Amino acid sequence: MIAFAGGFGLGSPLLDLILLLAVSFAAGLVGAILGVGGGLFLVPALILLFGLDIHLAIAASLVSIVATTSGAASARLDAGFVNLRLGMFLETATALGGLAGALVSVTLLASHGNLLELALVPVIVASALLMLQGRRPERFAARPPDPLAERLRLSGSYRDPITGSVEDYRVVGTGTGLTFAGIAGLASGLLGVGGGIFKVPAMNSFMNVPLRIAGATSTMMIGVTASAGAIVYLFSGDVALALVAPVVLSVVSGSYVATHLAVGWPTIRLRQLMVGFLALAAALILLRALGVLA
Amino acid sequence: MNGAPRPGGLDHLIARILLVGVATAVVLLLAGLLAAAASSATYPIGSPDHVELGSLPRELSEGSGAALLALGVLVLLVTPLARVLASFAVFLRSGDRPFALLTAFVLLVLALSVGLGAHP
Repeated sequence: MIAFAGGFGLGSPLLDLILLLAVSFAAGLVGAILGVGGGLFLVPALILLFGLDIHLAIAASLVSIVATTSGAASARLDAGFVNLRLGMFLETATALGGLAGALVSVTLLASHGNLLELALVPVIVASALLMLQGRRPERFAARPPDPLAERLRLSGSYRDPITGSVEDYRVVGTGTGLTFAGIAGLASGLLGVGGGIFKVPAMNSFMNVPLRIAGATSTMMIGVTASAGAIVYLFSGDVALALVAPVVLSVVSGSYVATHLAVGWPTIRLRQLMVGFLALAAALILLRALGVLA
Repeated sequence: MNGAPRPGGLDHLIARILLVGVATAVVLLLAGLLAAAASSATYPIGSPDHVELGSLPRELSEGSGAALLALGVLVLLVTPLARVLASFAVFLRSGDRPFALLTAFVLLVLALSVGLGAHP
């Protein structure tokens, strides 16, 4: 049978498991509706609601991110929205960042979970601010052509699903893009988030990639990034199987329901609600990291 | 290049690999949870697990729920690796040397995750 170790959560093993399934399902559902990935909600929920060590929460989040983004990337590849060459170029940096972040977490910070919690706070706040902005307009700056992007043929075109016309875009800013990708990867391996919420606006603003393509390409890259990190946690013993299995199955179910049920989700309300949740989570995690909150 | 995906192109190959990998992992995790729930052994949720690759085949043959869960997680984590490997092969065969090198670098990073993760 499956039981929680120690007395946290609701006290009864069965109720704990039900709460875990419900919270993970909600994280997958809301993450997919808002397009921000579930890790951002899952890690705070796991440490605050269940008092889990942050390493276990990060590992569970990374494994579930691999599952949800691989499923989502599969659909977007078929729809032709993923720029494979651009993704495989940038994921050299995200994967390296993911590996580095995870290594720091399981070695230097192995017994300093409070420092990881402290580092999570600004990431949650920045994500909440980005979410608060809502759907941002496309930003294409006039930038000089990028020789590396030309040489690697990173530019592309896609068929706009609304107008039906084929739109070309020219990729620039490979250096800036790689830097942002590396930082997003580092945050992913260190803190168990996907990092898409930072990478997508950066790809749009600095690399001239349309948001739809940036989002789909980022989703594909996150699988490799989260996997590079998760493998490190797996070998360090932080992948608690009895935790990860229900979390992954619930997050995947939540994300599947969000994508396949044609329901008019109240996106704006939901976004406001989750910004509120993130603000509260950031405050509680800060108190926890400082030892004020047990 | 993206744009209109060509049937049989790399986009579709990768999409298949990802879908099959995730579906296999989900089935294994579900089976593992059912086996764990049915067994008399206790699986504490909040405690770390060390996955021993060496003893996995024997535990699987014994129908251990934990071993099925470990296999499910492993399948999930090697799914992105499989798609990078497939891309590497396609780039190599089509003579796209820059992208064969880029994908080889990502494979190296994933190999380092295994190597450094196992012996930090």
